[in-house]
Amino acid sequence: MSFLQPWMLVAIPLAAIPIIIHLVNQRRFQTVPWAAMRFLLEANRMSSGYTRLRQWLILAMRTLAILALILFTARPLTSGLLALLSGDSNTRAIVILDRSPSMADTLPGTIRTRLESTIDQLSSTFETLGIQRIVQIDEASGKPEEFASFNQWRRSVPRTTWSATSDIPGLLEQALVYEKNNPSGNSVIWIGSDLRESDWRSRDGRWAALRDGFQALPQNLRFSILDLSGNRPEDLAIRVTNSQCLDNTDTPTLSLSFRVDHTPAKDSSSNASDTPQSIPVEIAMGSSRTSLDLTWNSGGAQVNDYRIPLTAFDNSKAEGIRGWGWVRIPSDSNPGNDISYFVFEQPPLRRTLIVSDNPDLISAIELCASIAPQQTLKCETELVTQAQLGSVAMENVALLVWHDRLPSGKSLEVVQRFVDSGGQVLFVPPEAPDDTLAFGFRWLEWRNVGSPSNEAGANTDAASASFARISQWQNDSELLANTLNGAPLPLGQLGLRRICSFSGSSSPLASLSDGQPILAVVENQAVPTPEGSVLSAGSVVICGTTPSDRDSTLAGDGVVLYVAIQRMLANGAKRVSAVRQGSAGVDRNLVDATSQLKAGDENAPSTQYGMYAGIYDSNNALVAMERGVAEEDVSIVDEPGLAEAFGELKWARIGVGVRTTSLVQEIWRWFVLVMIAALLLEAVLCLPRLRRPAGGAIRTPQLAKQRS
Amino acid sequence: MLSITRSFLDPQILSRLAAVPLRPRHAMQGNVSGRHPSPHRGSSVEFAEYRKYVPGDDLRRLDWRAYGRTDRYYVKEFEADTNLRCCVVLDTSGSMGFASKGMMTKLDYGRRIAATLGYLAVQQGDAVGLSLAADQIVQNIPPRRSAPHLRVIFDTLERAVAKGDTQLPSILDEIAETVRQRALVVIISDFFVDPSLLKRSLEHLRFRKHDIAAFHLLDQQEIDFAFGRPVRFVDMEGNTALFVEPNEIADRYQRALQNYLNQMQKIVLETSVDYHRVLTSESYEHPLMRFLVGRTGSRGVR
Repeated sequence: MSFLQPWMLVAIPLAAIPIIIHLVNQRRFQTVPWAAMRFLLEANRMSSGYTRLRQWLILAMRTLAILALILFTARPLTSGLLALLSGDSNTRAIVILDRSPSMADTLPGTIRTRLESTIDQLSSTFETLGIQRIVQIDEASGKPEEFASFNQWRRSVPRTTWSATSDIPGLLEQALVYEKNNPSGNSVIWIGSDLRESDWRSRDGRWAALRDGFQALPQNLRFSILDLSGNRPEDLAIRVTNSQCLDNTDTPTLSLSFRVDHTPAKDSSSNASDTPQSIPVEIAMGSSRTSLDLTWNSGGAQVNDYRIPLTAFDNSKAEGIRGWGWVRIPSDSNPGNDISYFVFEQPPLRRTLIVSDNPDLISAIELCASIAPQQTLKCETELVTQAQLGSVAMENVALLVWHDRLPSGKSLEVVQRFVDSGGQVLFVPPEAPDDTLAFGFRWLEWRNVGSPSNEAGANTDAASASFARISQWQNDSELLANTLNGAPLPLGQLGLRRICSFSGSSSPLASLSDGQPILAVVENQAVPTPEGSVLSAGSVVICGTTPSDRDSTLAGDGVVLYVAIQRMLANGAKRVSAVRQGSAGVDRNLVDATSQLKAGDENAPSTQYGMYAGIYDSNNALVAMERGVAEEDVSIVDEPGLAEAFGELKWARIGVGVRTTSLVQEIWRWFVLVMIAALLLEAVLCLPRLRRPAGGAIRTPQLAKQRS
Repeated sequence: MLSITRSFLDPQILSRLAAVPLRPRHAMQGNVSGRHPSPHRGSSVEFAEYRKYVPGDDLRRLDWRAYGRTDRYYVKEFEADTNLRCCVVLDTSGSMGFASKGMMTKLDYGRRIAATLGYLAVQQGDAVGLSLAADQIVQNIPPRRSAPHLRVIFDTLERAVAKGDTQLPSILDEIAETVRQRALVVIISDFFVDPSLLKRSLEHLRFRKHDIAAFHLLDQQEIDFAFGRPVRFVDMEGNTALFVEPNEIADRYQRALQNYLNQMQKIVLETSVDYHRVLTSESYEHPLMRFLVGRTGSRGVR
């Protein structure tokens, strides 16, 4: 319990007034000579339990009445620990709202979503507490927004969810920075969330830094977590897993794969969902609609390779086949996950530009770049010299393989623009490296790493033993990731005879046992833009050897080389693709305020398009923003998880029912009732006991006889 | 006519009370002839019985008519009338000095009752004695019927002060033994003694064939026990002091008082005591009138 007028509590000692009066009264006795002492002594010997109890009760009731009066004037609040943590009107409230799609649940019997419920409860709490200093931290704006008054905050606070998964640690980092820059005496950070693990990321390494950062702050800082994880209703969610245009047939066809996920109600104990049920799925492409009935059970449903003829598209047009659409199921408790957007296009040509002074040495790379992994894809390579680079149209290039002296001057500018626009560059060491510096590194010199006696390359076991081997590699990197079935790439089987070492700032992807990197990626560099600097979209990979048999077995054991080249090509192809598929929030940079909304939430602010699912036309590219993939994870951060995340910080989790209207309430009425009850009880206890008339005790027998 | 100029005597009350004679409930043994029945035969005009003549009897008392009818000698006997010996026992212990605000003390009240009774008795020719009782018999005046004796009694009453413990039971025992049988013993006291001891003493008096009357004096405040704030009560018969919260103890005090009064009622019934419970707030004329009127019906059983 806390108080709106806590200074009134200084009057609490006044509750001792009845006791003081009692003690003073005890001192103010009178001395009376008394004849009937024997009755007094006898009365004193009699049991006095009830009488003494009555006196104590009267004293207690009087004290309680005054105490209740004082507490009443101090305007007490409910909610125990919450109210204790809420502070008073001088406390600054930093509000962090989880606006992830899961907060859009409309619970049975209510018309409010979890987010609306959170905001209503916070509003009522702030209004009750008289809090006027409110700071809202939002993922979309990226910076804390200060409000001059409670009413201003209430008018401005967004009441709708978006499609992006929240990043609570990231928001708390903003709060930490704000607290550092704007220290306040007392601050309470209010976090309204349904405690989804996907939003909280309780095992994220940032929590340790947050704990240390907040503990280092001198101000009194507390965290109030409004837990809205209860009463989760049954929900169906749909998501497009793949949309691919097949144009190898006479009629272009869209291959669409999607799945329906079923989330049972949190407190559901029935197995009603085990029985197959049917749900209509509406598929839209542009202005055309189609639908199908999908049967699902407790495990959901999956539709793979659902083909839709693209009869409306003309394959002969210059821009090729390109379109967008969505799949939708009937609205349920959470309408935010009942629709999923997709885009498709005719796969673009995957073009590789090879700049080499000795193409024979890297013919294996050319071969790998020329062979498409799928029948629907087309790959093409072009071989040029560094001098011819200026005449090449780089717009259609997905991958640039550089096997020559490092670029400088205008060549470097071309390559730099290529990387900044999302291009992929693979640097292979030239035969005669110089000390040119590009992208922060330079080639040093060639050196042998295999056995000299086996330089002839005899195809024997002894020869195999003479190769240097790659001892460690990053299988969590995109380039060397495990295959789809989880098997690692056979990098350990590659043999290396000669490598060209390099120096500079790069992150090794694969290294020899002596730590010499053989494959590295250059850190992304900042690219200046009108809005500020952003990291370059492309990537630069350095390979410390060539696929020549003289240098390595990259060509002979070509699996690794082929996979790496194709993965780089796939990444590079995105820059030439006219469609983008992104995740709301994570890929917010795919769209901007100038983008045109083609489908999606029409109420979404244009400055926050990146946080909302939908179809956008951004710079002549179709972008399908999807809700965060992590939203499918319904696991909740439990109490130990929160305790581990917050550590020694002052925090409290308040379980809030959706029907609750206010987190804190004034309870002065109860104290008035207590005061009245105490006064009434005191009055009852003070009532004089009914005594026999004085004359009755001394009526003489004679008089009684006369009266009768 | 006796001179009545004492502060504790009211001539008007005396004149009203004088209209009702003071009579004993039993036959009394007086010193001289009087107006009250005696247990012995005497020479009054009231015939008692015939008795056979024995040698030595006065021949003048032979009933010759009876001799003529029966040829036997009978002596005709008549009732004897005697005077009353009234022994007033006034408690002068410390507790009798108690008076609530504006009221007279119990001793003053008892002084009035004793003086009035003595005056009435002497006026009708009876003897009056006085015993002042505290922790012992403070003063003892044997019963006499003369007017100067009454002045001595008044003087003694006037000098009486409330002081000392109450040893009323033992004093009553002593009076029972020292006063000749068949007297009227009037006890004026607050009787704040052990009822069982008092009962034994009253039985002792009764055994001596005394007619016992008791005036039980109580103050209104002793009944009501109405005090507003804590009080330190000091015993008037000793140094005992008790600090009490009146509101706390009032109920139990009333209970103890009621028990005591019930016991007293039972004791006086068992010992045939002419018992009068008197509040000092009422005029002493009323209890005295009740006392006298209550005795008019009895002529004294011989």
